[in-house]
Amino acid sequence: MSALYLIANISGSAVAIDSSRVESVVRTGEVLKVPNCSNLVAGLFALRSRVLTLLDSQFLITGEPKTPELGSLAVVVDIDGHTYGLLVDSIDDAVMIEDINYLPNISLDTNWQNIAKGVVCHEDRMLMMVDLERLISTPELLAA
Amino acid sequence: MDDLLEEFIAETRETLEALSGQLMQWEKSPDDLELIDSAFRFVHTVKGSCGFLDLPRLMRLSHAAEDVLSAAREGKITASAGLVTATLEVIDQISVLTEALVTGDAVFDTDSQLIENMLSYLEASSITLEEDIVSTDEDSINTNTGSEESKGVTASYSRNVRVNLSTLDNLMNSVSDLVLARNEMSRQLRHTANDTNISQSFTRLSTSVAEIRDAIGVLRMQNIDRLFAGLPRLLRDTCLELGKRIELAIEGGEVEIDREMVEALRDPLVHILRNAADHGIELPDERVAVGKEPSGLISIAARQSGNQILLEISDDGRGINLSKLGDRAIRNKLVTETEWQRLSDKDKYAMIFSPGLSTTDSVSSISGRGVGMDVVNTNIRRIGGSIDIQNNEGSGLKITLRLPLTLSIISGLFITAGDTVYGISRNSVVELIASSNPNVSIEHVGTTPIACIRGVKMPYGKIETILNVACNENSDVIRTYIVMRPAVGPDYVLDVEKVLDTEELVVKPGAPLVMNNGLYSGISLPDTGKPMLLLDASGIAAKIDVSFAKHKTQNKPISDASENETNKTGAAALLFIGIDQIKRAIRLSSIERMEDISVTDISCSNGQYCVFTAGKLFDVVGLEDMPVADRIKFLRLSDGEQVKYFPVADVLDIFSLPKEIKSTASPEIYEGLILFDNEPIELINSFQFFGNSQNISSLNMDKPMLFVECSVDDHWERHFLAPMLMASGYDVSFDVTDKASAAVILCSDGTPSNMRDTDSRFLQLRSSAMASISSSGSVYRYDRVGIMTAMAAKISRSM
Repeated sequence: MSALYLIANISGSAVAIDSSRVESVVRTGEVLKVPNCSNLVAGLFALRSRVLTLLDSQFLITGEPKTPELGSLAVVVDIDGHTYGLLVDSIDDAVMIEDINYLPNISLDTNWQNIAKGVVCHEDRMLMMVDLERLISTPELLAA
Repeated sequence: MDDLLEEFIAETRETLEALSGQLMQWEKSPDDLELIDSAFRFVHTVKGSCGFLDLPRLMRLSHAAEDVLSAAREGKITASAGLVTATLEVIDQISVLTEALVTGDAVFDTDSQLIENMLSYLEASSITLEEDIVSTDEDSINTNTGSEESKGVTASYSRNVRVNLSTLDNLMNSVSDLVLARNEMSRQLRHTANDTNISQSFTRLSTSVAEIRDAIGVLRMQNIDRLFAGLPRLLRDTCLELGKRIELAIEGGEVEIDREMVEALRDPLVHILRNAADHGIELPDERVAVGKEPSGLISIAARQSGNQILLEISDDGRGINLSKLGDRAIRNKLVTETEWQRLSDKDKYAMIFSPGLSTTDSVSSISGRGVGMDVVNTNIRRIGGSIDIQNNEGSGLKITLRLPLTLSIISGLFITAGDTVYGISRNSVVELIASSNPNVSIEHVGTTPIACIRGVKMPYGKIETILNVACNENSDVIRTYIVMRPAVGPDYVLDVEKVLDTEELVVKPGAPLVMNNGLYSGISLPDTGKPMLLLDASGIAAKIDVSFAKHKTQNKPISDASENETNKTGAAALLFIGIDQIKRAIRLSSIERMEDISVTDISCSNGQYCVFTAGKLFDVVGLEDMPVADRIKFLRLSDGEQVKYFPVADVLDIFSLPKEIKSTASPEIYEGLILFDNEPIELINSFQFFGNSQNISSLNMDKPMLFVECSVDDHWERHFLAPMLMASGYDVSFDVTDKASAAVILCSDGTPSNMRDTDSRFLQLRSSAMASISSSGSVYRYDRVGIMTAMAAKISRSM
């Protein structure tokens, strides 16, 4: 079964996001910081009449919160009925991947396990498969 | 297949809801053919649908019910109360099974038992009528099903379209987008050159956008009937359990409220109703013994009043026995005996909302099943409503719920902390005080800060500390203290940098990640297009210091009592400096709020000054000349209907009026003279500002007693009428026991006319200046001369 995947860069690594989950890719407007909240939340931003929660994917991987700037790239996804923006450094491409075969012998380091379910090889590139549900279920462990 | 099943579930639910009222009726008159028909139609439809959906249990139940009902329609068996109960049980089971289709839960199979129970009525009678049935049974069922089918179709036909909820939500989102885009465009247009054509088109666009927004708002509304639909059934079951006879009267079912509000109200309403049935209404024998009808009456009335919904639940039961309530409160250590003695009646009734207080001796399955009155109170306040209790011991209890029209739009207060703007619901704000006010101080007990406002100590929290954000380093800035009232727990003081503005806010739910910390109640997108966090009053209270807050709760009756003692001297009044630089006071109850208004918004026509604010024109009272300053502070006065603006130079303090108010020579302008800090202060009479005030000499009399008969909403009577009457030398009473001895009884439009006609002491005050036929003999309530003359006439006649 083949599906279209969006290839994006987070913290220097290429990741693949199931395109059927992606609503759009936007540049964020002004970001409102949410005090007293998990570091995973970079803030809130308005997308037309909706308010989206901006997720700091870099924080999940490196533990270093990223300061969102005006016009940062965000991938808009729907997780559990709420709409989030996933901060990414850049968008590379959208590719068809025929079969998802996770490379068996590679185990991700703990930080990457927060965000990806495995690594696939596509046209000689190693791509990490983003698991959106896992993204928002980890903050309990990391909550500041 | 899935679509069919969903359709079936939705349809069955809808029919059940509509049917529940009829089923109640049926029980009262079991032989009503029309009602049997509707029950029959229901089971018949269910049976038909189950056949091709392959739902064997529902099929068996509905088939059996159909058999019995069909025999009842034919008159082969008489529909006894027992039969009705048995059939209702089967219909209940159908409803349970239908819900289980949605949830996927397993339902314990008692079907056969229920069916047998119901069929026993069929068999019992079929023994006596055996021969007739055998010959006609099959035929009659068959012919009838045929005709019923067509009948059922016409009955359920209505001009409605069922719309998926998410479609509606999408539509609402798009409309919000539209509104934001319009706002953005209007901003842009203001910067560009003025082109009449464009601005005309834009105005047209604006109007239709506003219309669309209103129309969408209506789509979210629902008849409150939906909330009431289940109640007759509930009451019936409760009655059976308790052995009581209770009638339920419902009115105002056409009032429309927000869809979410219906859900939020369901539990509290059910609890209040159960309470009324269980604790309020007496057993039939007891009722007869005290001279009441054997069957009790609970009435529920809904009506809309401005942007509020009033929901009144009244019963004609025994009401609350205050001394019994006191005993229990003391026994449960909620108050001490002396504290109880010192509480006002209103505070005493409020005790029924205290956690851990049950008003009956035995915990019955009825009252034990639900939640306590404290939870009802909490739930109502959480959705921005309030509860009033009106008790007539021995003859009933009336509970009034005041609710906002919608949950998703709140009136919000904008505050700043750090560099960010936050919103707070206006409902949880009691008072705003500048930190420079000499009546406020922050004291420290150990390291815990405590705010002290006019002698009342309250927990204190600083917004920047709570949110853990940097404080704007401007030490000379005057900050604002907000007295907050969370849904549960005591009031507390929130120290914020600045209060900016108020605006109607659309509340959107936040992502769980954001809401987790409990500090926020939601997010909103005001017209600026920038997202904003809404602070949750209860969440902040928890953050400030739970233990301190808890400690306060225990002490609450004590502090209330001491507060009462100081309050015993009288109502609160505001001390201000008038525009003529003289210190005066005015009753706080007549003030809605204070507003800063630019002098350019004040206009004068024909000697009458007006202010333009919030898109409307209001009369200004007490202003002789156009002021010179740029901005003027105005007190916004209101009697509940009219609004007047009263200019002041500055506002100084809020204090309690002493009991003794020295009367003045012109009571219509100055209610009296009071001492404040050993300084005589004139107390302004708010009455003069409403209606046309004229110079009237005061009446000198031997203080005749007046009784004011008022409805639930006695704001006007207490705060406008009574001060005017008292200043004119009358004694005014609101106590029903004084009614018999009163010289004149003042009443409003609402009082039934037959009472007015038989008792010559009645004087009706009408709220409109124009007299109508129905209000003949009445006096306009701001016609001071008219009221005085009419009263004098009545008093002289009675003497």
